[in-house]
Amino acid sequence: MRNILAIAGKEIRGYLGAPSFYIIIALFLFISGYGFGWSPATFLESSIQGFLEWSQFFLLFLGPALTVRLLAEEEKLGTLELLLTAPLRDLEIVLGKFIAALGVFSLMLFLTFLYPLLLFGFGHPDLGPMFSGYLGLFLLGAIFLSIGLFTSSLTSNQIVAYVMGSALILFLWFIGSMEGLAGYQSFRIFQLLSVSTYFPAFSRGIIDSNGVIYYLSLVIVFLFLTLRSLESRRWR
Amino acid sequence: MKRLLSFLSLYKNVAAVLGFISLLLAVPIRFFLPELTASVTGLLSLGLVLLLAAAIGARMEITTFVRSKRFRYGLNTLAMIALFMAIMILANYLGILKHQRYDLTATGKFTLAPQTVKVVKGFKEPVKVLCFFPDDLQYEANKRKAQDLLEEYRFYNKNFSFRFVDPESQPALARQHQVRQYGTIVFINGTRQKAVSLPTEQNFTNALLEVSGAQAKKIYFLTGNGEHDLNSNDQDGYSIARMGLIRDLYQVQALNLTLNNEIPPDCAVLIMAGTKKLLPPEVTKGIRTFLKKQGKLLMLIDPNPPEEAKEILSDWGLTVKEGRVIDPGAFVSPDRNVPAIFKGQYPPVVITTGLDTTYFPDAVAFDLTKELGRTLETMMKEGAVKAGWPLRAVQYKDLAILPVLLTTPEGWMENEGKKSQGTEKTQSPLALGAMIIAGGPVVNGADPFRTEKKEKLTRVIAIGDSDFASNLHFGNGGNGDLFLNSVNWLAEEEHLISIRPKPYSFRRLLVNNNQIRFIRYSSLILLPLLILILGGIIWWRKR
Repeated sequence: MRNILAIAGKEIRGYLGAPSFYIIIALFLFISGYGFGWSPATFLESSIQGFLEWSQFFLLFLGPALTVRLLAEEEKLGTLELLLTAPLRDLEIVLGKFIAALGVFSLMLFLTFLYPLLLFGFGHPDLGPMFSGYLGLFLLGAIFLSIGLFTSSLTSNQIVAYVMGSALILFLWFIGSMEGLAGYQSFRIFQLLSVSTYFPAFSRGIIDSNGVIYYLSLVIVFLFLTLRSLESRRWR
Repeated sequence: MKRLLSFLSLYKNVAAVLGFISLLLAVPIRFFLPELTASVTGLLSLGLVLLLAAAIGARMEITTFVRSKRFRYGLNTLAMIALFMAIMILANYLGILKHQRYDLTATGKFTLAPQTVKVVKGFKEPVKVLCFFPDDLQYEANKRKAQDLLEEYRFYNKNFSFRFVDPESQPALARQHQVRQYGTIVFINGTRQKAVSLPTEQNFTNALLEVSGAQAKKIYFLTGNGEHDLNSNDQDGYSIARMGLIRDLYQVQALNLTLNNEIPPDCAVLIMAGTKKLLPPEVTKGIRTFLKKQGKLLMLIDPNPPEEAKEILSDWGLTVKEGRVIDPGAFVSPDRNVPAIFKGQYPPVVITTGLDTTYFPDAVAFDLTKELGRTLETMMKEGAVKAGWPLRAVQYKDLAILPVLLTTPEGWMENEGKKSQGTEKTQSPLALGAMIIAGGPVVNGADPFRTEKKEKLTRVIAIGDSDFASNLHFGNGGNGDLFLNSVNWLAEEEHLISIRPKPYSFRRLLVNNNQIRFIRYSSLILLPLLILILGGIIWWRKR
């Protein structure tokens, strides 16, 4: 556990010391703020649905952006070899880097708590949908971060890792819309596999166990694949 | 043979590339032009043959590779990934089997009413729902509403399936189901089908009932004797109460017994909502006959009711006190003529469990008939019963009477300006409402109003006011719930008794233009600016 936290701490310091990170956060807050302030739902229903709708799309591109440098950059600089030969388990490396990315993402979400505060200050919002909305957004972010980490482990080129990560995320997002590609039963399976199928329920105030289990499964699957990818470097 | 093998070795790369291209071409043709099965089969076969040829040509390299460590480690990794994915798929499958949904909204906006859940769960046959919505923003709101609702229905019954159909791209299917307008939702069960145009829970559940062939219970409102009009939207009308009953999946009809003296056999509950005029003898006879045949009656009466109404109640052990109830201990300020019963002040009775405050504009109270009262007093002196009207249930032979709506001990009856207490010696509460079960064996030692009765028995609820359920007062406090719970108990649909969530919660932000601007620009600019400043400071220090 100590090793995981040490790696996570080192990565978080790396994030916080990079000016580009602040630009990314500012962009995220700008887009989220626009979604919140200019959405009819904010004023008619005292809800954060406008923010949720805009931020979920921004996350499609933000997720890989936060994680591409975690492993790809290490390989490019030659420090990955050092990391792999250090007395650290591959699992500790993967979890440490993932927790760092998740931590900075959580910080970004925390900054958006201004929106619920504004709503409570001027109205009587319903707390339930806010809680489920943030939970859904957190899980969605965790999936995209794990996918970005996985693609980062496959190559030393950050741009290639970013493109692969975005492509995979977009595929998982839009696969549920591919009606007409196959029969109804197959379409139903595509819908179940699509990440976008479950998020609307979170944003409306419903916690669906299928959605939670599927989102957590995806995070675990991609972290597992990242682990296997790192491990394969030893014998490739 | 040797020449063939050396030929394949020479062109193995070309064969491999052509083989892959052939297989890749087969995929889009299969999905987009499925009618070209021969071409797809041909391309697949060609691709496989070319790849096989390439494999034969590269057999030495393949053999070397298969024997290498990299292959074994790679195969091991693939096997682990496959096993892991299988575990994840299994976990998700188990999750689907034990599917749970938690509605966190304050008003339970996405939770189906208990009566709907009962109907949906009870459905054993498969039900298919086709939603004919075109790809048009105009229909997006209703489409989403329909989807949300149908997801809830499917959650409770796996036999329930639905899909969205674009009537513009599938006009034949729309014609087949006689769809004449966009946004129609068709419920299909075997040969029965029912079309619905508005996606509401009530419409969907009624459609389900109709395609199942089930009959909703019928509630009849007595009319023609000065009762509240169940179709009137005026303040003293009963249209809201009627809608509440329809939402609880009853059919509601008016009944004029002067025209046909008999109460229909399909009458689940008869409601007398504020009868004011004298009842003709045939009407009284019809009601008495109905009750003797285990009928169910909800009698809402006001001060100075017609004699016939009093006589009907006295058949079942109740008298109506003279005058109107005044309760200085609990009333709707500033009018003492409006006694109230506050939340938490109800006896533990099924129709008042969890009930909010109720109030009764201009109410009358009930007492036992003189004969029953004397009998009870004698039995109490003999120690045969411990019942004490109006605070406890009275059980005498096959009659059980329970007071359910009680004033405070300070309540009294005011009759022509004169005051009279509940009893002469001590102050005691007055009974504004009573539940009666009669006509069958009362379970010894058990509370007949709590135990589930399997036998059909006469049930009566008498409440000393009819205005509490009128349009003006129905939605206030627990008034509406009291009315609906009473009907549900009478109709033996106790599982429907509930405290219904308010359908709408006002959450609109009441802000002026300056406040709107503050909300918008603080969320758009304030935070990003602070973060950029912080980033700038860090960049400057790093320089």
